[in-house]
Amino acid sequence: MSDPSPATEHSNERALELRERQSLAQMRALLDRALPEEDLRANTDLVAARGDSGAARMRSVLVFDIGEERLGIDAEESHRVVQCSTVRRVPHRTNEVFAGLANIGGELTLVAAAGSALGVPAGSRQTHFVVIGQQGTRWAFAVDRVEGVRRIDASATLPPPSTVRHAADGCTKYLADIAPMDGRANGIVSVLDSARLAALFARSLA
Amino acid sequence: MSDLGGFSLHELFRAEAETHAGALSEGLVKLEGTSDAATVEPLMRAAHSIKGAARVVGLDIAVKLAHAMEDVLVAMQKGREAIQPARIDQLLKGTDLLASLASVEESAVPAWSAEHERAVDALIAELRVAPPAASAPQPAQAAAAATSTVETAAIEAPAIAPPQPTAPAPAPSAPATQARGASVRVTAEKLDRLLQLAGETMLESRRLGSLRDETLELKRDLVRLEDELDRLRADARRSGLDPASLAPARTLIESGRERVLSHLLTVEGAIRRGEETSTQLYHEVLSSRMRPFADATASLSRTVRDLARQLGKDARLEIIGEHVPVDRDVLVRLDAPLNHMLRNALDHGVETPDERRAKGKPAQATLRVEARHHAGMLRIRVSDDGRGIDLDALRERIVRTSLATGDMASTLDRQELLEFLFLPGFSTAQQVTDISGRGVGLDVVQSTAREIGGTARIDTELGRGTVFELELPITLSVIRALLVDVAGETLAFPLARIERVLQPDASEVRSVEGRMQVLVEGKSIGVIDAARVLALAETRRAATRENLVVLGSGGDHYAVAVDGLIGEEDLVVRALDPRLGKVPHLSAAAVRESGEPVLVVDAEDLLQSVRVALNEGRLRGARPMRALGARRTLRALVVDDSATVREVERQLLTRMGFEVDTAVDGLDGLHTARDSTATGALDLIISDIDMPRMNGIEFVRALRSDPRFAAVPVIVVSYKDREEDRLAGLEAGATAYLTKGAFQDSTFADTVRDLVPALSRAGRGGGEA
Repeated sequence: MSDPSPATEHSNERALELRERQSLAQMRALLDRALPEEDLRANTDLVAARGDSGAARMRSVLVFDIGEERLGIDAEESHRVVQCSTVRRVPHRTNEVFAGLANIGGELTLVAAAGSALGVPAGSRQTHFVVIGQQGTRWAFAVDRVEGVRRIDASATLPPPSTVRHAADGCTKYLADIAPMDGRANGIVSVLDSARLAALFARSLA
Repeated sequence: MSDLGGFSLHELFRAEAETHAGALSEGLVKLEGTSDAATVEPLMRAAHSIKGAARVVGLDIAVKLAHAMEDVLVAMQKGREAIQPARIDQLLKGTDLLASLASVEESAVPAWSAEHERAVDALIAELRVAPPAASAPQPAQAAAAATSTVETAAIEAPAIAPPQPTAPAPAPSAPATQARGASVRVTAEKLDRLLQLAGETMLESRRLGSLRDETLELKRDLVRLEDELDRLRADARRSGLDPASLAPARTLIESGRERVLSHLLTVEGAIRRGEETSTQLYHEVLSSRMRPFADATASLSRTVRDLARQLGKDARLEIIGEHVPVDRDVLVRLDAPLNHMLRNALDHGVETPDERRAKGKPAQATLRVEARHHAGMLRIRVSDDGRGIDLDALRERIVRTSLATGDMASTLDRQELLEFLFLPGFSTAQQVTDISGRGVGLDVVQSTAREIGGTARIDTELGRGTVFELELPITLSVIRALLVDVAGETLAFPLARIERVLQPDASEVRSVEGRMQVLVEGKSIGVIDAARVLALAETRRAATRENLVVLGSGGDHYAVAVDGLIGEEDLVVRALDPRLGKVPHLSAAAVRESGEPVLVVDAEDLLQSVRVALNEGRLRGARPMRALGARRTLRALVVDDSATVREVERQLLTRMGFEVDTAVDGLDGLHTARDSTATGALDLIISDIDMPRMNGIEFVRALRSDPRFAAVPVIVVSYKDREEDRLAGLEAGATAYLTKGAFQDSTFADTVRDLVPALSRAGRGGGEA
């Protein structure tokens, strides 16, 4: 492993200059600069890996918190992530799992209380909606914190637990070890299957 | 398959064939009336287009048929062949076959072809037989012979020339079809999505207003800073310092203020333009949902022609207001009522040509369908110049069918009497005919009007004719509503449904015999708590002043207590997510201008619950716990898409001692049935056959496949009275099959008693424990 610091320092310097002067030429220079070695290596690995079938591939996981639980969903399975807005309770329909309707991008979207559905104690902060599913099967659920999209090595994932302790396990597609960014000890994230999650939510309306 | 905007190739064929078949049908009838060869050309093109479209999707059967039809039309246009009713009949038959083919799914095409191949071939053969020369018309068809007298009447008719009241300048048919302009097909979902996005754009540009507010704030800060500086200068002078040292600061502030001011102007301009453009976009998209009234009337002249021939009558249809724009959703709902009103007019209203002549009327009757916008509503009048309705005979019939006592009937006024015609199963016809059945259909007119928030009324003049008048909302997409707060939720009551709003002192609402009442203009009105009916809160918020929304019609008023009045707003409503099923008391959802979601209250449904709640002292949706060991109340579920039929059945069953739940279609019925098992078993299910979303056959099948409902007696009550309909119902698993005429005698009640033995044990009319 070569020391990446010169490249990083270099780009930091450039970024600072850029901010100070707002010069177009500088920006171009930044974009045209040689790729930092670290990025180059990661990209090379990625391209190389595609070649031999079944070998490592990267996948993107949207990581979020519901209460104290750190959960994830394959980024490609999440339709969008937006700030929370008013959830209108629906008479005779709203229950423990079905929270109501919210206006998400002009679309009145069904909102589920993922915590109750998954058997995970929900937090009280509820900052964002994660929207999953296609038109017609779309659901939004509130999360307490969005950590962001994390890249993981697909070959390093673990199968879901064989014994189902609570509903969250039943919806788990795989487990992934994603180092927490806030220094928490446990890095294992249950990556949920959006289809199973949507089905779980839909059951509350049956 | 390549992406064709969400349509498969076959779907495009279907859409195209449907459009052209409509044009053919309409044009052929017109052609028969005018015998004008100049009107043949658009028909030729329509047949030709269907042929081309069929060729693309490889539907040889349709290619052959359309080709043969085109040949005949070409011959007519070139004058090689006379325009005769028998020939028009053949062409119409061909049009029907094409339309029927257009109505089946791609997967069902082979089955359709197998079934209709012989009919198509036979028709092609008939079409190919060159008729005798134009000078010697001769009905070639056996079928035509039976109706030849009518044809004669139809052909003679123009000679009599009935007095024409302000003829609506009818555009020549060819330019009319072209004038509608080039169009593309867009799926309804896509249009709805566009509308949502346009709405969101409008919201976003309004939110930019906060930019302006912030800039204004900045400007105010600068003014304050300037004042502060002036004070400093005064201070400096007093303490012997040179005030000039503050001059540069002052200059800076002044130039800053100028820049903020010009920035403010720019921002305001941008916001205003953004708002204007996005609002325009929004209204443009909204108006793309509007279609000309003509879309609802295209098939009517054909219906009138066919029916008149069948009945041996002679009538022509006049349509006024073809260009009046009507919302797509309203238009779709107009089909059944318009058909029923015209059928009714032809069957019961219009006399035979002989009768008419004897009365000094033109032999050809005139049916008129008029559409126009009036006071923000769409007004549709369907009138005939037939025999009118004999009010005395009607009164007699009402008494005879025990719908009212003689005393009561004699006090009914004209309008009240005519209202009876809207009851299901009520008919003034002397005999049952298969045209408009047993007076069946008129209830559809009223229930459809009510369902979309309108009204229907009848007026008549004996010997002169009858008029049906529908008053409907122009669009179902935008409603003016009162927004209220109920247990922290924003709900909307359509203004059209609100009688008045009251804000009495809380002490004016009193409990009388356990029911809340308020005195309004000397009349006592029942008060119901919205939060409890809607199951949004257990207890009411204490308030010194009540907010009451009075709903109701006629003498039947109820006040709904809400927690706060927010204000009026125009709402663009959209259907509730189908995954929610039919939600009791709600009709739609909407997004407020602020972006906040709102639920629109179904006032009719809410009223219904209020009536039940006040009459039975319980709230629907919040079922009381039954004491253990108490005798169980018998429970029935009524599933019908007609509000009128539901109500008739509900009342009959309630009178027999059932506790009755209702549902508006099969899917709703299934949900309601499943919900109700939580509180006990169902003893009886009544279902209609023709319903949207899930029909009765599918509903009964679904019930039977669920062990919880496998043994519950199911009575199907339908308008369909053919043997095969009955068998289909019974095969699906219905216990009994009745026609809606069963309400007129005791058949319905007898069947119920037979199927629910517990009913007689519980004692007649006293099922309540």
